[in-house]
Parts: sequence; structure tokens; C-alpha cells
Amino acid sequence: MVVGEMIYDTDVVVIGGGPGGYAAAIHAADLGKDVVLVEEDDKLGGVCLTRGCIPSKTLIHVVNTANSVKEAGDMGIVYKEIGFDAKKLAAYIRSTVKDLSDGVARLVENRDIELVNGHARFIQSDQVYVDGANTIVRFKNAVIATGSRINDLPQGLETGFDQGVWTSAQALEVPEIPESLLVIGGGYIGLEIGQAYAGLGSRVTLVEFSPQLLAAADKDLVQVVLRQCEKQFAAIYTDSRVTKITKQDQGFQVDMATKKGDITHTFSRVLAATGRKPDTEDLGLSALGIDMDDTGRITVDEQCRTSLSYIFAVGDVVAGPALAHKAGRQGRVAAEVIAGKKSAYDNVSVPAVLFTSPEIAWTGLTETRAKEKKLTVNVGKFPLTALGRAKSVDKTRGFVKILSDPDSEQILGMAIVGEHASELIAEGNLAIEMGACLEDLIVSIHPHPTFSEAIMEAAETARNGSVHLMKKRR
Amino acid sequence: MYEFKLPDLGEGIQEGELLVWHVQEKDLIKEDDPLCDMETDKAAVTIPSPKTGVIFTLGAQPGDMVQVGQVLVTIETEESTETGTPKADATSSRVPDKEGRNKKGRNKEETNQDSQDFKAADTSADNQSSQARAIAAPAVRRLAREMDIDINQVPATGPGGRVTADDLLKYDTHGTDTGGGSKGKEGAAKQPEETAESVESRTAARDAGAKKDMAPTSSIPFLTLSPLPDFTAQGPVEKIPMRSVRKKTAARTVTSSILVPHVAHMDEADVTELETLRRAYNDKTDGRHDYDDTKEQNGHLTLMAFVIKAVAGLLKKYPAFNASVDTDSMQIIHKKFFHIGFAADTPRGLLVPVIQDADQHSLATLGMRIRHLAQQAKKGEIQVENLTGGTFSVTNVGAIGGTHVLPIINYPESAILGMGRVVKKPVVKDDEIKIRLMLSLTLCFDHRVADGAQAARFVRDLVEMLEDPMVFMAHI
Repeated sequence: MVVGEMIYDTDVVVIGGGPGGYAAAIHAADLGKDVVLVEEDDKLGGVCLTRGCIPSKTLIHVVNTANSVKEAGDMGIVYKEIGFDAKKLAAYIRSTVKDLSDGVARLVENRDIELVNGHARFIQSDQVYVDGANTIVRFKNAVIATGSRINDLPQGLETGFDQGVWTSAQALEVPEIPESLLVIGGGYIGLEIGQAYAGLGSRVTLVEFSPQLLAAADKDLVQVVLRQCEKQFAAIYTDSRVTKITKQDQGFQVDMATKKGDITHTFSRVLAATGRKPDTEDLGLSALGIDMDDTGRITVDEQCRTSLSYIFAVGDVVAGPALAHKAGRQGRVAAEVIAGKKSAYDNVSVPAVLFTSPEIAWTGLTETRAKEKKLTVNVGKFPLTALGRAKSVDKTRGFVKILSDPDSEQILGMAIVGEHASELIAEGNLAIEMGACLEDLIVSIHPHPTFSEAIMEAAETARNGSVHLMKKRR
Repeated sequence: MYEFKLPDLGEGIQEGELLVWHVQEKDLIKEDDPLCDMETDKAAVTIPSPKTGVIFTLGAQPGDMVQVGQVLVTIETEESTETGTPKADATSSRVPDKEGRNKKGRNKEETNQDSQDFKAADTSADNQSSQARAIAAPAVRRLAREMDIDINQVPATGPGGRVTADDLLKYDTHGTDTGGGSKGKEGAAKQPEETAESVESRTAARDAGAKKDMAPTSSIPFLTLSPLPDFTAQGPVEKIPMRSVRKKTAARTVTSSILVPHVAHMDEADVTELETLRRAYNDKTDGRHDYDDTKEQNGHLTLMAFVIKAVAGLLKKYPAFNASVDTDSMQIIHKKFFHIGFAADTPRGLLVPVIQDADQHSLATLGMRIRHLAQQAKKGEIQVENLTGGTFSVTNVGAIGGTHVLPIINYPESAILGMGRVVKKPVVKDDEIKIRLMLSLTLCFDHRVADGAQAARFVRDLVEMLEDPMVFMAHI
């Protein structure tokens, strides 16, 4: 032992203070356990709260607010000029993040959870050493909730993150509103931030390696957003990749190999949104004998137990979508199992929510997946053009789609593209978790006039046609 | 090929022990010919063949426990490739009818097929359909986990084939009846091996499992279930599996001992005069040339018949001893029917045949019914309906020997009468010591429904009836 070392003896050590980790820590404390929470960052809340979901949704809200005014000219709104004060916007995002992070810290403190700031590493089967705090934590149970980190850029681009290429986290701090922005990566992060900066006034170009944007989503959903992107973006290159980034005095010169040949353009800023990988290196896991798969994810069972049954792992470090709400649920399961309760992460569906413009959300079975698995499903689709509320706010782009079992009418999947999709999908998720059938959605009264009616109408369509749609002629 | 699955045997019976096959593979069998004998918790039954055909394969060996829905035999029939789970005689299938929720597009055949799969999934772990994920709300899933139930095995009755909380409760009751007690232990055994000293959570989980086996809702202070010592290290042992009647008896008596606060009230009846009359009557009928044991009017009168007759009459005056407690609704249910069970010692263990409406039969009829049911029980031929529905029980195991018995109430009944042996004893009568025939009586009753004073009065009335044939006649 080194002189000056702190030693804690605790029931549970939670490594990582993100949505999975802090949920596990707080829930375990509520269930009567002594808990030590280790966080590397100076703020609690993880990527989601500090560098991801929260700042991005704040930024997107600001942009959407401006856009909705700009689009409301026909409604009689008169305005002279709408612009953005980048500094004020950045400060607003910062304060939002700070308030929420402080809130988590208060919750943690309120439970008498010992918060240790530093990088944790397993040094023995029942001990972690926290680098930066010179502390050893001896535990009975551990929860690994270290989340994920941004993928490194491919080799050979010459210029990387260290020379000014933005990560998504940097872009969300809104250091400036660049005149032009190249977004590398047509996943949801690239699209969300790309559309936001387009709304702020940047000329945005998007480059994506694969032929489709938002590869995980059904094509019909993507199509609606793509049409919007085509209006907003200077150019979209699919099936294309960046081969070289050269930092110049004013911006970056970027070489791209596109479908139509090699091109070179100059951009004020480049954002690389090329995915994330589980943060499981440098934790001392392999020395401990914790099993991981080829992608660096920790293998866990339904109780979120690793191959060492007293050590748990939740969130982005285990299989499944790298989403905060899934991590939060797993964190609670781990805490309950540690507290001796019978619990399991046995959810049917994890909703995916993209804050693009318009929003995309889906949960459960997708049409793409149904085709892959050769499942016969009934699909009911209700376009927002037929919805009174959508018409009244002039947000008629999009639709609600429901997939149901042809025999039992059990709801297997729901997908929404359009205004408020992120909010509406919760009903679909509840329906799937409850094992609801079309009938349940059809007979439950949905308030009028709201967007939620589209779900009821889509359920009717899945069965035999909606009151508010033209009858199919045979 | 026709796959014949063990049909629903009624009364919540989920499994049976295969006793003997009446056929072999490649045998020709006709519809309704006996296929095999099974012993269930309640009785031995002969399972008839549902089809005419050739026996292709036998699905179990004598001694095996066969689950309802498990394939018993495959029969090569001329016409069909179907599978089936025909209903047992006079019992209705307990499989939920899924038709009601399939509002469209599913024809009847498929529906039947589906519900059979369901039934198979209920009991057979290796059935393919059991792998499917049950449809259930998250709260129900959690409840299942807490109850140590694999929700994918539970038959669903909710709309859309959803498993409801009620389904779990029903399944759990069946499970307890049929060996579900082992589920909790499996759950605990499934815990991964311990790799560090941090085993607290698993110990807690195991405790929870143990608690579940004993009392589902609350823990009992000081109750510890430590594993048995290794008796084989102490000396030679023989291990006998607990099955059928033994297991049923264990389940019933454990339930009763834990749930019911037993109180015993003891007394003795001087049955000298009654015995004199009874023996004289029996001697007379024995001597008759047309004596026929099966005819009720000239059957033997037994002391048990007198006791049952007296009890059935007295229960009308003391309804608390012909009752059940409904703890859910906080009500005591007084039954206005008097079905008296009596303990019968059989080669398979203790069975309790029930005489329906014992209050309405003559002593001679009761005597004949008792003898007839006891014989059927001994031979293993007794029907399930003659073993269920009792409202009060009488045991005369004391007749073999002993002074008093202290019986356990046959839950959910509220009382049981234990008869000792009729013995000659010196008794003070009219200030003199006389030799009298004495019968010891113990009324064990549920203190939730009655108090000692009621029991004392009940037993006093019973003693008076048994001591004085005139009082007996006056009361019946």
C-alpha cells in the first residue's frame, strides 16, 4: 500500500456515472446497499447528459424553434430577421447540461453514495484502484458502466481530432457557426447535428460510406427525412468516403471518393460522426477473466452478470443498442439482482429515437427485419396528411406504421416519422411490452385533435382500413 | 401417425405415474381398449386408447412420471397424421380457448392445434413451442420471476394470448400440487458458482427461494432450512422417491399444519350399550339365509357408521366444524352439505374416501358405503370423485392401537374427528368401578373458525349420542 492511499470498503462499486451507472448506484443505495460511484469526468451524467443526448436535443430545439417561425410565413407571422447568437446559444446549452448534471450529483449525495473522481481499474478480484484519486475500493459487487467512446478516425486521413476535426461532443458545444460544414457519417448523430447546423445557417455537406443514410431504419422512414435533408444540405454523398483531410489556414481541404469519381472540396469545419465503441479497454477486465466478445463488449446474462457472477455490466459496454434508456433499465436490474431481488433485463423492445427533422422513432420489429426473417406481418400505415392536428400545425410530413401478427393481431412493431415521433413512440413501446393487440389501440380513445390519434388510425389501418382514409378500390 | 398425449385428468391433476402398459409396441389396439394404468395423486386410472391402430412407440416406462400433455403413445392409424389431446371422460379440458380472442381469419382446426401446443408447452420443457416468448405485461413478468415461475410455461387466458397475474397464481397452485416445490430449488441451483466472497446477493436470493417453499408472503423467524446430513456416510440407506399419494399427503399436511391453528379437544365415550345393540343386530343379519353384503338393508353396522351418522347430524348444529376459511374475502364459509370423509389405509398410502350427503343415509347404507369405498380404495379402483369434496373427516386409525390420536385437519376443511380403539376400561359408574367399553375421541379443529367451548359442546353431544342409543335415535 502506498502512503496516502484511501481505502473504501463497500457493498457495491459502480464504475461510470452515466445513465446506466448512476441509475444502478442510486437504485442499489435505495435497496439498502453501501455504494461507491466512480466517475472519470468532473460532471456526472455520462456522454448522454454531458456530451450527447441532452446538449444535442437542446441545440436541435433551438434550431427547430427558429425554423418553425421561418416556416410560418403563410400563417401570418411577421418577422424581420431571425439569427443566432452562437455564444448565447452555447451558454444556454452549457447551463442546461450543468443544471441536469448537478441534479444527478444531488441525487447521489442525497443517498450518501461516495463519489470518487478518477479512472477505475480492477487490480484484484474484489478491488478497484481509482487513478487520479489514489483510492482503492474493496467491493462485494461491482457494476461496470463505463459506456462508449467515439471511434478513432480511419488511418491515413492526415488530419484528425487533434488538429481541429470536430467530434460530435465538440460540435454540440457550438464553438462557432461555420460557414460550411462537412459531416462525415450519415448515421443519426451525423444527421441530427448536420440538420441542426444547417438550421443555424451553415452550408452542410454529408458524406456516408454506405448506400443508405440511417442504415438501421426502414427505408420508407428514411425517405421522409432524406427529402428534407436534400432541401437543407448543399450535397449528400452516399456510397462515398473521405480519403484525405488537409488542414488549411481557413478550414479543411477534403478529398472524397464518391460514386461519380474523386472530388476535392474545402470546408470551414469537418465533423466526424463515425460511431462509437465500448469503453472496456484499460479497466483490467481481461486480467480478471471477464469474458468479452470480438467487438469489446462484455458478455452478460439476463441479470446483467458478467462471467464473474458478482461483477455486473450494463449499458453501452454490453450487447444491444448503445442508448441511454437501455442502460438505465439495465442499471436498475443490476442493482436489484445485487440486492437479492429476482430481476432480469427481459425487455422485448428498446425504442430508437432520432431527433432528425422530421423525427424518426421505432420500436420492436421493423419491416426490414421482418423481411429478413421472412415473417408474415400485417402493416398498417397512416399518413399525417390525413390527420387534422398535423394539418393545423402544418406538419404533415410523415406517417405512423404498425406491424402486427396476422393471426393474433399482437403488435410487433411500431415506427413513426414526423412531428413528435419521439414522444409518440412511447405508446408503441408500452403496447409491445404489454403484449397489446390492435384492438387495444383501436378501442382506447385517443384525444382529439392530437398527433396520438395517428397511432389509433394506423392500428385501424392494420386491421381493415381507417375511417379517415380513402377506401381501397379493388 | 397419431400422437396421444396424456389427457387432462381433471381436478387440477398435472401428472401421473405410469403403473403398467396393457400393450406393447407393434400391438394392434382398438379404440377404447385399455392402454395403460396410471396412478395420480388421487387415484389409479386406466387410460383407454383413443384410436384403433398399431402401437408405434410407447412414450414412457412403468414408474415414469408422465405430465399432462406429454406424448404417451404414438399409434399408427389408417387415416390420420394428426396429433391430439382428447379430453378424459367426463372432465373438461382446462386449456384456455383461444378462439375468443382470434377475432379474424383463423379456422377452427388451427385454433385447436394451437391450444394443444399451448397445453404441451404447459408441462413439457423440451417442446418446441415452449421456447416461444410468452406474451405478458412487464409487471406480470416480474411477478413470475418473484414466484420462481418460468412464464413461458404458463397457459395464458388473457386477451391476445397474454399471461395474466391470475394465470400465474393458478399455475403456481398446480405447480405446488405436482412437484412445483422443486422450482424454487432449481432457481437457486442455477446461480453461478461462487468466485469471490461476495455471495451476499445469491444467499439472499436463495433465502427468498426457501421462503417461497414454506410461506409465500412472509418469512418465519427462526425458520432455517439447512441441508440434510449425508446419511449414506452414517450407514446404509434406501432412497424411496416421494410420489403420488405420498407426495400429495405431504403437501396437504404441510399446508394444513402451517396454515391452520389446530386445537385438539379430547374425550371418551362409553359405548358399551351401543356396542351391545350393534353386535346383536349384526349377529342377526349374519344368521339370515339371504344375507347379501351388497344390499344396503342387510349390511353390517359398523361403529364408524354410527359415528359418521352422529357427526353429520351434529354438524348442522355446529356449522363452524363444517366450514372453510376464505382468507381473501375474510369470510367463513359454512357448508350446507355434509360430505364426510373417512381415512382409509391402503397399500398406496392414506386415502380419504368421501360419503356424499352422509346425513341423508341410513346407518345400514352408511355401513355398506364405508365398506364398499374402503375396498375400492384398497384395490386402487376408487374414482376421483369419491375422493374429493369432503366437508369433515373422520379417522379411526386408533383402531389399530393407541389411546388417542391427534389428526391433522384435512385442509380446507375446518375439523377432523380422530377415533381411538374401543377398549375395556375400569370406569366409575354410579359410584362403582365397572368394566365398560370406552372409545376415545379427539376433535381437532381450526381455531380461526371456532373456540374451545364450541368444540367441548360438540364432543359432549357426540359422546351423549354414542353412550345412549336413545339419545342417538332422538337426535337423528
